[in-house]
Amino acid sequence: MAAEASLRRDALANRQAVIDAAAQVLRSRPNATMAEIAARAGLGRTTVYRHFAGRDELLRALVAHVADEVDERSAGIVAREESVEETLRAIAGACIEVGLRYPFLYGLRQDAVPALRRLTGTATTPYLDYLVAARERGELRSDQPLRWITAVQAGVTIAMIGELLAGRFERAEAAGVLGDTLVAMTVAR
Amino acid sequence: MAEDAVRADAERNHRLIIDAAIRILGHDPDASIQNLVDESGVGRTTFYRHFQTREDLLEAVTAEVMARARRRAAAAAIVAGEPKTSIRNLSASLLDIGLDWGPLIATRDGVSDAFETAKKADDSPTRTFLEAGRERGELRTDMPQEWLRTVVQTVVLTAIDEVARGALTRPDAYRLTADTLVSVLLPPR
Repeated sequence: MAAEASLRRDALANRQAVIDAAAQVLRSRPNATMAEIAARAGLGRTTVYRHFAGRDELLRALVAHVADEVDERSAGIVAREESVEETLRAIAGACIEVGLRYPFLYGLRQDAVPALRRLTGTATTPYLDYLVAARERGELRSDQPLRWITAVQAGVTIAMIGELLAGRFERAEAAGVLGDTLVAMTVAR
Repeated sequence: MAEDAVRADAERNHRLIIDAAIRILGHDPDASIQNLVDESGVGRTTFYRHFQTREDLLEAVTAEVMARARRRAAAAAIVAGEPKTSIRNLSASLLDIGLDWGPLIATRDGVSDAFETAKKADDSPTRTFLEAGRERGELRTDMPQEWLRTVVQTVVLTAIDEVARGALTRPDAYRLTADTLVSVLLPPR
């Protein structure tokens, strides 16, 4: 029994090691192979393939990992109980920060969007709970379904990350402009 | 005289074929040439005199669709003094292209000269619209114009995506897109 539990712990630790290694390697080399990622994780290729059947599956896990990170950051922001404007601006800043740490994901945005939708759409997340509550308090516009609001929010957030990666925007301005955009889209006026 | 008549005839047939192709290909991008010949009312020989290959026809149709959309969107920009109406017109004309021509345009991405030129054009209807509206003080100027253009594209693409997923009806897509763009593009209070 104890041996089995420790095996499972090992497997989970390996899985996380692969995800972390992939995040590091892909940051500088977006086309890195599974072998390079395995080497960085300090694991054999066979072990890596036991966890992820291929590159696509690994990338999907990475996207989920990024969504978790955004969830965590937004939980902290929401807990501060600031005004809706301040909250949206802080969320904008956090999304940009996380997005820029995983630039290779922008190239995968077709796959990334469904996972990022979690942050804003179909599953319960701290941010979605916040929006529901803020709407009940009359702080958000009430003429649009939340699914639409969160879909356009996710869309412009990803678009801003794309603008930054393409060098079409100053990093210093980006969070402010994205925050203002989210506020304009979302807040009752 | 006779020559003029022949030319007028040829132009009329050309138009009949393009109009028929636009009616059919919007809903069924894979329609057969025979379908298009039948719909146009011209003979098969005449048809092939104008368009030797399916590719020739698709290119002409793409060019015509883009030109029509641009004319409609450009017309939206000249309603001075009614920024909300102008935004709604622009929004509807962009959605028309996306919803009616999404399948055809998606298959032509990177293939069609007409489409690629329209995509990159400096005088895109959205840009012209934003420039004119900002000069008249009707649209917000506290954000870069190119960012607003990105926001317009992103919101429209989100709507198209939601319709494709079955999450939005077409009338709702028109309403939500227009309302969101009005909120974002008007100057902040």
